Amino acid sequence: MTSERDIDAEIKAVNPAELTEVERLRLEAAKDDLFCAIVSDSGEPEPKSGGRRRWRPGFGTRRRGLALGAAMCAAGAAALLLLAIGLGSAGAPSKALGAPLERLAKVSPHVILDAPGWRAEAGFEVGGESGSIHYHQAAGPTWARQLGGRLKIAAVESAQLDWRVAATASPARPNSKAVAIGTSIALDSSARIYSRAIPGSPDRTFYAVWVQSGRELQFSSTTPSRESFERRLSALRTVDEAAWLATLPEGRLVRSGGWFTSKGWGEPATSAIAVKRCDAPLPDSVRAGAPRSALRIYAQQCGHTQLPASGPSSREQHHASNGHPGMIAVQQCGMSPEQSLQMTNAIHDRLEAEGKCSVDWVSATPAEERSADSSR
Amino acid sequence: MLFHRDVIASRARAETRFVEVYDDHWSAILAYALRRTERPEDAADLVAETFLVAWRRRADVPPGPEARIWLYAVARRVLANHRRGERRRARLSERLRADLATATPCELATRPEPAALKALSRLDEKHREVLLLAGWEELEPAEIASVLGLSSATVRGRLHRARRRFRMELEGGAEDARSAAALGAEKA
Repeated sequence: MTSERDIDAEIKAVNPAELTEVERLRLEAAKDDLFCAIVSDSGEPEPKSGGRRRWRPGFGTRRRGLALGAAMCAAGAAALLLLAIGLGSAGAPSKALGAPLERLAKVSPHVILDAPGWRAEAGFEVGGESGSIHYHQAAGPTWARQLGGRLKIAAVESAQLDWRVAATASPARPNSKAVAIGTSIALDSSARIYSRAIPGSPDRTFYAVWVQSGRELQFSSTTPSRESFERRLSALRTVDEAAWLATLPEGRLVRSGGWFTSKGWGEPATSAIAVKRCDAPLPDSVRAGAPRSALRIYAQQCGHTQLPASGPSSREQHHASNGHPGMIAVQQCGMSPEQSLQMTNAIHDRLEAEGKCSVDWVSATPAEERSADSSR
Repeated sequence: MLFHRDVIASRARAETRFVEVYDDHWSAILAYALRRTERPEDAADLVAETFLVAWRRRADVPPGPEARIWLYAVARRVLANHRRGERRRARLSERLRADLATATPCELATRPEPAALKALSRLDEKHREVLLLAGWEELEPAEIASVLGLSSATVRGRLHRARRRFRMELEGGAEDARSAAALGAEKA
């Protein structure tokens, strides 16, 4: 044996784990399980390699831009998890919901967004003390261009009212504690207005904050300019308790850990999600290869509640401890983007048909994205 | 608050890309791990740790086939850390540890050690690694250079020396085996 080729062949012949053999190992479930465990990791930065030079492969890779980095950092805090969608029960909410709603009314400043096309989409009681109301307006501009047009977003605009004690949690002060406040905040010119950029978007999210007698009211919405935000701001009204209750969305009053229906406070979010999994009409192609445990659901962070930067290791714990409501999407671990999209759409369709949720966006496949681009 | 949608969408996109990396290179990294660890549980830990690093540094993972080379480099470092006794990711890889222990065919774990393996084991680490990356992972010298953080010229030189030493070890081992057999025959 003299040639290099012979030597390589000799080494290759004693390979203890040929790739073809490894690919035949039946490890799909373990593979999915590991994937879910990994992506549930909080994503803390990988420590540097302690002075060892060039351990990284020399691809000359560069860090992605600041926007994505900032978004990913914020994502760690905004966290996974969603659902706890308000159940669509018929009837007047003020009568059906009883004591919890009355308690919410007591701590609310009774402010509403009173403008054509706007309606309250969901009410949230956070920690049983502070709260918020989310408003949507149909037929607004689409947001499909955001983040490089990777999103397919329905034509919906949104705004949000939050109330709490002054100097407590807000996007600018995320770590402070939210507690209850009472009513009566005058919507005068004392509001402090600030804004923050949205990565990949020309628009900004504006905030107006009133602080009066130790109480705080915040109105936030995303608009192209401060002028358009101020027009929206001018539609805020203070009303009496009965009128405020009348504007609340039917059956969509939600609180941490569950939701409220005419039958009482709902099950923990974990159970809710489990129910959704079972109810979901999974497409055949997805059902064939997808363990239910791999279903992944994202949450929109609720108002001023900040999720822990490094969350619990288990997604179920996430659900149980941070079951704040939101809307947003479903993605599946270990599946192709197309299958995830298919599954997401199927679940959305089902839930929307039952009046259980309002879907704003889903991830778009590249083909859909191209189609949307060509139609614009 | 639309800001949060952007944040979540951004995370979703990163995960989608990671799904592709994970699916495309799972088998290669698992094979790499099985070839270099004695116990399936250790291989499971190595796979878990490697992909965890990839997840945390997903912005750094190069696109396309180069991701595999990048992952090999991570796996190699993770393996070195494991050998130095650093903490393991048993929690993450619990299911894989169990399944791999049962799914790994006996022949993968209990094959008799041929002379070539014995010869490889007698090489020093740096020569053995280039030979294994070339023979088992079937990497080109430039790719090996990326995994090891060396220049291609250095890798070519090292490969040449490694093959020569491997041949010497193999022939020396064969000679030893013949001597032992002859000694045994004489005694008989």
